[in-house]
Amino acid sequence: MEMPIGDVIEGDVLAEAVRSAEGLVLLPSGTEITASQIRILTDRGVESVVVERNPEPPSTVTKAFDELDHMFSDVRGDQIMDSIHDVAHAMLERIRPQDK
Amino acid sequence: MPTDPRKIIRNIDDLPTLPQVVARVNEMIGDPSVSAGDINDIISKDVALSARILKLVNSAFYGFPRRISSVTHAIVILGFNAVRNMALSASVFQSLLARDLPFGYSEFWVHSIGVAVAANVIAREKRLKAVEDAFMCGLLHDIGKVVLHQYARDDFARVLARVEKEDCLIYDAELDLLDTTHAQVGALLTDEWKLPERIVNVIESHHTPTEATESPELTAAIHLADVFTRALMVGSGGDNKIPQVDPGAWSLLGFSDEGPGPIMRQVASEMHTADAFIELI
Repeated sequence: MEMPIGDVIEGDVLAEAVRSAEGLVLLPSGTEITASQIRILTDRGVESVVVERNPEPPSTVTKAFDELDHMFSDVRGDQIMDSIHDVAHAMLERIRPQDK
Repeated sequence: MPTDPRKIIRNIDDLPTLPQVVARVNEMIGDPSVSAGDINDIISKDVALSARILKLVNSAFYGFPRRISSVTHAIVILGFNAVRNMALSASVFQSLLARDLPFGYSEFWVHSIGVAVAANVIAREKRLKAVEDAFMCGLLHDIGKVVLHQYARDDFARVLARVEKEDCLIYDAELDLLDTTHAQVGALLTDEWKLPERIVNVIESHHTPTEATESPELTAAIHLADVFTRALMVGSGGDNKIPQVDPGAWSLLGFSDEGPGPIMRQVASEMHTADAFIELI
């Protein structure tokens, strides 16, 4: 999916090559992008790139809680699934924000 | 109802094969006259494979106090089955190159390795007989998704489009849209690879564990390992929801008594032992 360069994070994988205005390939498709590459693209005036559609790793613990709740949203109310959810939730709670 | 994976994988001969060395080792395992030295001779023909096997054997996953320096030594200590499984683990990432997997190639394998670790913990803690196969079954449980992406690309693209649109499980989209599921396709591949029947059957039944014909307990272990690994958010199975646990599998392994807490915490604490496998991706 197309993403503004400001939303790209380290580890995103390019689904399409990024080209300069002249058409030269700056980064090939499949590149797992690094922080310095993001800076370089931004400096070169690249506005957006196309990245692989994969779930974003939780960049904050709050986001992880949201992901967890969403994952279980179709199965809540089932005793077994609730017990698994609660254990996973409790384990996340032990991760303090500064540890992420 | 899912029927026959061959309806969707049109040409079986197109399926990826195991590297020759690994296929040969797999064949030789069943022969009682084969020695550790014989297996070592075959494996040592592939220098890169030998090195990967030794790296895995000496990794935190096994936690041996002294360095294992040869494949023969590994066989003597771990047994033939375990070394066959190591050889397979060390080659599977190369056998199925699919770096354009839409939901993330690395994330897919991280999830699979996670399920392998979780399955190993469950099998060990619940004292299952087939504990040495648990890791292998976990690692390969979703391999059908890679095969579908590579060999039934349009069909699988429809599945992924449905998953994106309705935010459902890949398995449920497959049931609705295809004549087969990734579980059956995975079983087809591992059967073509001539892996033991018990491993093939576990892969085939990991979403429907009460239908397992070979090893109900091991199948239940993989079924639960998948759910725990998703709940712990290790990698990605390609969708954003979690499958409903089969209550039969849950009680078969004794989880109705003590709940999932102790095992889930143990799985989380052992995830790092598979770092050597993650490095092979």
